[in-house]
Amino acid sequence: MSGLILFFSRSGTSKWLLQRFAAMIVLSYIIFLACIFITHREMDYSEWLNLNKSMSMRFFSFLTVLSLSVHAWIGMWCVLTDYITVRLIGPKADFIRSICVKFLTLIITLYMLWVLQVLWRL
Amino acid sequence: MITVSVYRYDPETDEHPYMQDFEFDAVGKDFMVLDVLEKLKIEDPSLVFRRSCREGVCGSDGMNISGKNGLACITPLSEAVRNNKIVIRPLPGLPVIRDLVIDMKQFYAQYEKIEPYMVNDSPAPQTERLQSQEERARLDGLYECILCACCSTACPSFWWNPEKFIGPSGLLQAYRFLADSRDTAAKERLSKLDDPFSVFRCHGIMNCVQVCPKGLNPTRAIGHIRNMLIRGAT
Ligand code: SF4
Ligand code: SF4
Ligand code: FES
Repeated sequence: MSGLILFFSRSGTSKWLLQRFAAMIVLSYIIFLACIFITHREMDYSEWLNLNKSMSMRFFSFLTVLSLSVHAWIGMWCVLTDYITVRLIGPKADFIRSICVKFLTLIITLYMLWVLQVLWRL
Repeated sequence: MITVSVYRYDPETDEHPYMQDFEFDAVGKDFMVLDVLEKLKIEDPSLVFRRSCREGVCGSDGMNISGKNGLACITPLSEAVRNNKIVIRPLPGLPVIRDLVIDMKQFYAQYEKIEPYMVNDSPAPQTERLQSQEERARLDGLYECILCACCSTACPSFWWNPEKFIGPSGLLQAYRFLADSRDTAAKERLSKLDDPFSVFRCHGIMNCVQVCPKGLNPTRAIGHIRNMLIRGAT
């Protein structure tokens, strides 16, 4: 919740912090998975499925995807506001950028919903 | 003989900017680039550039010398000549007024935004406001900036968003006042910098550090400002 407040606030500091915090969650997920793979070298599909079926793992996976989405959205928004500007590509830039940002938001939202669906159906 | 290739543009007569080549005989001496320009100006009085102190103090002759921003008056030929050639262009990213003279309005506008003056509401003491030696030492590496704009015009973030990103020079000065023990407006200063562009467009590329002719480190100052903002937010 506080993450969402940070995300929608106009403060650059909160966006910056949120992006770093999100990166830490993604990193911890990667490290966690790496540890699992190293310690369970013989894992078969059913074990893998059981692991992912557990509520805590579902939560962790979704949290990671949420973090990745937030991280990517902020990062892409920075790239778009750097390169799609009136200065660089002319007077239509603001319009084009707003389309790009909406498209980005749409793609990321759909992606999150899709992940949610995958996790739910396990 | 070296070839000096100079960017020329006079908006009143030239449709496009072009590079003009001069031949220059350094007679075995290691002239400063500014000396070379002065000599070329005798040859061609239409050549225009800014200069004043000719010793790295006033900051007026910032230009792009063989691809690197710097002050012509303290850049020796030996540093700038490659394959017997030196290429001189105006500082990148700001509009050219003529030849090597750029319009620095946007640069100063960012400087003005950070309110580069001491703010202290308490009544002025009889003598001056004193600082301890440690407090004074915190201003080292900050107060020396001569506003030459070499750093900001080397910064990609400033190229892309010169109206929104303060730029390394302005931020170094912002920190100069944030770090001053006599200034009491830190909170207000920080709240004016807390948008996604003013400070946070710095991506730590460090072009600014690489070019600063006074050897200052804007990236470090920006890091300090960011930490102050984060401490204030958490
Ligand atoms: S470190 Fe920051 S201010 Fe310096 S050149 Fe890079 S982006 Fe610009
Ligand atoms: S920080 Fe250095 S390069 Fe930037 S304006 Fe000041 S003196 Fe010039
Ligand atoms: S002429 Fe003053 S800094 Fe070069």
